[in-house]
Amino acid sequence: MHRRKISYEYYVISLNIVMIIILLGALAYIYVDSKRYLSKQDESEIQNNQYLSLQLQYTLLNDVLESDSQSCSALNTALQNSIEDLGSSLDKLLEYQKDSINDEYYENLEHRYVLDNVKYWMLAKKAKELCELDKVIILYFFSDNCEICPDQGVILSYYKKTYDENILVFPINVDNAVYEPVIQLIMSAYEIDTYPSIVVDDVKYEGIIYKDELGNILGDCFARFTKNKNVSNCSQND
Amino acid sequence: MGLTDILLWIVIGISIYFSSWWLIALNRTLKQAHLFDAETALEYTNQNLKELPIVTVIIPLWNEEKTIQATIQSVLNLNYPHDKLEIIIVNDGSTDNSEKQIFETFPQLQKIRPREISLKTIIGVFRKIFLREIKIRKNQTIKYIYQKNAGKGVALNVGITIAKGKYYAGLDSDSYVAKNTLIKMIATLTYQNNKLNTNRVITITPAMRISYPKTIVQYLQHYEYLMSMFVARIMSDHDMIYVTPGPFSLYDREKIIELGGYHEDQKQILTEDQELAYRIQDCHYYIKQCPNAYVYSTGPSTLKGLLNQRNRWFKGSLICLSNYRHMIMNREYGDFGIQQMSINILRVFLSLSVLYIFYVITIDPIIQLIQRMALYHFDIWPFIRDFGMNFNLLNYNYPRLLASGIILLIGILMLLLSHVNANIKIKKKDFKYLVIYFLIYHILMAYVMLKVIIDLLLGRKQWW
Repeated sequence: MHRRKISYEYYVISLNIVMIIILLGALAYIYVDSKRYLSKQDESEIQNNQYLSLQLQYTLLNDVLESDSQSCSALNTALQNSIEDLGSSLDKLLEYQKDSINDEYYENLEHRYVLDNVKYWMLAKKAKELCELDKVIILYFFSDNCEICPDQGVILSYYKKTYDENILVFPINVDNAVYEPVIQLIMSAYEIDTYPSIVVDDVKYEGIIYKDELGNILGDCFARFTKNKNVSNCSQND
Repeated sequence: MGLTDILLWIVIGISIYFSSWWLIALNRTLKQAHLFDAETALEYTNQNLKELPIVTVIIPLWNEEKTIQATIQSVLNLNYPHDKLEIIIVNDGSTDNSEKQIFETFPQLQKIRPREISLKTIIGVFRKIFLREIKIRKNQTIKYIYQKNAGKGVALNVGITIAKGKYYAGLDSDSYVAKNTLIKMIATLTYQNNKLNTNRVITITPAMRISYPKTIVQYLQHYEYLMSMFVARIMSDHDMIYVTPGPFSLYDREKIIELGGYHEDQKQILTEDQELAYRIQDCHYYIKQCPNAYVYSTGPSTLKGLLNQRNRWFKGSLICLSNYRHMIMNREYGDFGIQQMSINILRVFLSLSVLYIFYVITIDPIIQLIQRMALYHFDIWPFIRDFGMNFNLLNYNYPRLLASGIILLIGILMLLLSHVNANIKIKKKDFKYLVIYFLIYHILMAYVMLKVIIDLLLGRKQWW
């Protein structure tokens, strides 16, 4: 019978090359993953310090010193920037977490961000009263299991881009309520049971609010700011 | 890590595996490199053969009125003794002006009455043909056969039956053979048989090229042909060639008759040349490539033509693969069974995976972006105004980048090597086509593969 050649050495060498390259890929991946984690940890520390500083400044203005419009506006800009940093930082964290093989790695960090978000929301509310800010504060409740929620997120980020510093959006993932009682507290305070829900300056809207409707709501708020400088809360009912 | 990334790495793994195999194998090819030019080929055959063998060129013709004259002319120009070169044209019931073109080339043909013959072909079937025969040069005759349309396989079998040559070469009527191709092939055939000390080398394949590419589609095929001819050269040294191109592959006539000629049912076997190649491999004969025996094919000039051609090829490949599945991973067939048949099977998986990955990382995000934009009525101005470069080295998907980088590197390496192999320099104007080649061509081919698989699955009873 005719014998045909099998070049065994080729198969062995090729397989080794594949193994080496896959191994290199895996190493690079693990390296980047750990770098990302460390960078997020650093960021979190910096944000924490920023928060402490801002909180102290507001307390100072409120309790010890006289608040004047100049120091108020400087503080507000700082607050604004911190909140935005926090937002984008959280987005990145979630993205990294999705990429990571070991997403438990990131769970503690995520928990920290959830708390930070609430902390900043409280600070913003306080700052608004103290400095009579013309800002609309929006709480956005969503869940990972809700299909339409991302749409609401898109519309909110559209208005965030449109009105820039006049809107502060605090996204709250209700799935975190499982392990974080603070979220439960806020949810029960606003009686949140459907998603998405948004709270615009303490007025709750359930279900998705599309572009035009949300535009009207925000328009009303801004109109009220100009009408009455002293009332910085807008409400549907009055 | 999602499904996409895992799939991407599997694709990378398989691609690296195959390309490193080829590159290691290239070593043997370089060591064995033995190319004949026209002179050395003649010298070698003079030394090793009593006389040059008779070769029959069979031109199956079906509706190729634009190219047939040039095809015939290229055969007449062949650098081979006229008395050793027989030409047979088999008109497979063309419905266009092909016949007129032939009569224009050989006016005497029209003057004689055709002989009606009931021919018993090599596979034992009787075929009614109309034969004309004229003398075109001192020692050379040409036979012109007309038959009712019955398919390329039948036309070739009729040609083989009539042929007198020890060897024959089929030449598609849209292809042209270079002047010295035949003598180089004969020398290579003799050389390979001598080297292996056998007479089992029964087929020599040429190096196919696209003739004067003009349209983008033809340029894309040009690069593809260069690459596959380069790979075929390596495959040749490991007896792994699984397709003998229609244009001017040279066969030992007796052996092909012994193997049963071409498959005649065109509806069942869409690629009769590939089927024959598989059969040759199955019977453990050798197929060798002659890397500098050039044959030029026109190649479809439009996208639609290309997609149709590839649809037929891929379908034909899958049918052949299914018919000869006993060779897959079969040690009896050496590297052909273990390496080449696996590649042929895995190619289907690779195509579908590439298509899926392409969808997930490009099409899907675009659809999502449009859906999102619809939510704010396509008022994208706030986003443009606020567009900031958020540059962070850590944000990139490194495994994905690495994977794409490796694929690209392999692609470029293969491209460079194939240009070196074909002795062609890469020019400036090549770059724009190459970008399209790397970005789109394989996606397009993967799309054809998907379509073919769906077709085959839907028409299951008919095909399998």
